[in-house]
Amino acid sequence: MVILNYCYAETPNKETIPAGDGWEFWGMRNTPDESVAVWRRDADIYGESEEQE
Amino acid sequence: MSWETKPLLLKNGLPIPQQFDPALDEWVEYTNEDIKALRSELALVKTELQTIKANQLSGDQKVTLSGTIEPQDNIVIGARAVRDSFESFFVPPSTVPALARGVIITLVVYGVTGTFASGEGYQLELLEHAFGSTQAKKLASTLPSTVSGNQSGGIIKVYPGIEKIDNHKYVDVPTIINNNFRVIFSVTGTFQAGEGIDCEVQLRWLY
Repeated sequence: MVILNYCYAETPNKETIPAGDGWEFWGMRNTPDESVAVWRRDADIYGESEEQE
Repeated sequence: MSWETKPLLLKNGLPIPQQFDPALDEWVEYTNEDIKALRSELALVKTELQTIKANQLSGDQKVTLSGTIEPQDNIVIGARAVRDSFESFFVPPSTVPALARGVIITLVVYGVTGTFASGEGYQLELLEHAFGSTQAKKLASTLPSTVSGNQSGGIIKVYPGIEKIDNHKYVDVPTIINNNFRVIFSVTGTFQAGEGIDCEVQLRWLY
């Protein structure tokens, strides 16, 4: 499935939303070393930067 | 034109070697000095021709190329998508450029979600086929990774004579590329609906 041109941001948990507009929760990434919430938004609308605003 | 009307110099009734001198307005005999000068010029020309021939045979001949080198874009062989399972990208002989000697295969990872145990994650692999799409031999493989953002993805480079490198994410293989190979994206982990690896697989030919 081809997807939108998403850019991503990560926060410590799904209750913490990245600053800025347009973020939607994508899912968690759980590994033996980390557990982070991954957020995504359309880079064609909001820009490519993955930095939290 | 007086040279047309001036009589030639004769000896025993036959013309001798001579040239017309416009300053004197008459024919003058070739001297030994004239002939020596010609021989000297011929010797120089002969030497130059020998040098040119030697350079052509040895490959030292200098040439100048004109035109521009067109930048080569990466070819996408696996379109950007969220993948949560194995996917194979066969590169058949008909798509391999005749002069290609190597290839760079890049796995671009934009984002990663899922649950990964130790040793799980995404990988990039390269297999070459001896015949058709069977009889495969693994040429290179990156180690499983769950990294997203900086230091994510993987690169496999194949080219004869390069230094062999395997640092798990960047693998360099010193050999010529077969004209019949397969790129594999594989991933292990547990995924909720919609989770996976947002990624793209690219290829660039090396000549």
